[in-house]
Amino acid sequence: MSGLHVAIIAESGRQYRQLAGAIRGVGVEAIHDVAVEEAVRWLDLRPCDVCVLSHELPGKRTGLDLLLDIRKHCPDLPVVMVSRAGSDRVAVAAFHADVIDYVPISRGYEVAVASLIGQLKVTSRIDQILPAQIIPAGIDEALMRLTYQNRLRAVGRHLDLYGFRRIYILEVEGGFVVRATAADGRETETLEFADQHFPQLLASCAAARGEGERHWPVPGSLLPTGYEDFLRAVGYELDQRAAEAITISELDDLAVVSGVGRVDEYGVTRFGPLQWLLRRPDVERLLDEAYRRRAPVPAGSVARAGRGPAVLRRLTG
Amino acid sequence: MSSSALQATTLRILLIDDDPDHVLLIRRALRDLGNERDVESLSDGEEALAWLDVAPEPPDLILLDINMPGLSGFEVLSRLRADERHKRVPVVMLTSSDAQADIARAYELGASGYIAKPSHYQDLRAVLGNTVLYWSAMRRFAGPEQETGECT
Repeated sequence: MSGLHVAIIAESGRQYRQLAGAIRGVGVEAIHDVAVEEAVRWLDLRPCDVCVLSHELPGKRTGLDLLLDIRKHCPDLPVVMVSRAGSDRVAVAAFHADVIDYVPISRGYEVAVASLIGQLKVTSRIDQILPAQIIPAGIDEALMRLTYQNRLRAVGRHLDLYGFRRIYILEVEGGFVVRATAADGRETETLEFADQHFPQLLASCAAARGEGERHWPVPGSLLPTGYEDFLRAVGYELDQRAAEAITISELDDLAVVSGVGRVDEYGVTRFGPLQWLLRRPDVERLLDEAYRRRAPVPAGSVARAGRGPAVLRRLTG
Repeated sequence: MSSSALQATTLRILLIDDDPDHVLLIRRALRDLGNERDVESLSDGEEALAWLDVAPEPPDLILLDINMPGLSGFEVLSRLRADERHKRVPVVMLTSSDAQADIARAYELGASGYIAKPSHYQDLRAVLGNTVLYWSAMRRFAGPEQETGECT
């Protein structure tokens, strides 16, 4: 268990409990509920490792006002600010006051705060929890490789399971960041899929393989069978192109895939920026080809060569 | 991707937006990524195109507001994509939230991505992180474009 001490200066008891619950989830037990009026004195007398401070506070003072006072006594205290402010103005002011991060309050923000705190001292904790490789007995090793096809499929399965929609996936160092609209359609959430989590995600995907265990999503106008199928099919094409640094963005009637990879130009394959704009017929073709690759070829028939990204309209490269 | 390769990747960013607060957020996000580099901020499209014309080399990333006085973000993007020198520079559009038609139009004109305003700091970090990967890959492919010898 971590010896980290975390002080929370919250807007309300409810917010404190929400944050404290999430922070306990990353193995921190020493969490202190610090009242606004005694915060400066408390922090001065009891050194702690990190402070979570709400910009919205009971009374007339804001979190930014309080932060300036805290800085006079504890100039080096790591502070994470959370706020419901809907503009960048508060974030900018908070960074001027040298917060280590600013987290807008939206659904799941407490998890983001807990994750930040977990990173401060409990390094590699996830590595300790997750076995380095989890390959269930009887699972084809190919399904566990960290290809785009497998990783995006695992991301897609998660999105389907939790009913996310309108996704925006960005590959970054160490994994993927996904912006997605939650099932209730009101909140946009940020999800992180770190590389070290994929062995477990892929094992879970592989174990759920088979029609009986499959989660069927609600079909959308652009993606008739949900994200798992779509992202797996896109991932296959990206692997074929030896792609890197990818992004996938879904709009109402258009999905955009971009990155760097092999692109065909004037009959020659080069490396460069690639970008595919996919509308419903393109998505259907991708899915159709993905199903054909998986399905056994009937005896006596000739397998059609996959047309691959040639069917996709490429904007650049 | 090794972290040493990333550390060697530096970003020069052109922000075309009339909101100066964005510059600070971008600098902060770059610092988080280990890239404290140049951020040039200009407030309108005409000025930006003139700056790009005389810049010794193109920036690594352009953050471009759609709604600006004078030349719109769409017009600036169209001109950039028609210019051989700038057509491979990732251009991320700054949009008002849920402006689906605007985002679709931007992609059709060659945008690389978008950030909905008021922007989430995490989004900005993710976009910058993706741009670091993009240029790491592009620079490894000697070039920026290297024939592989394969014919299709």
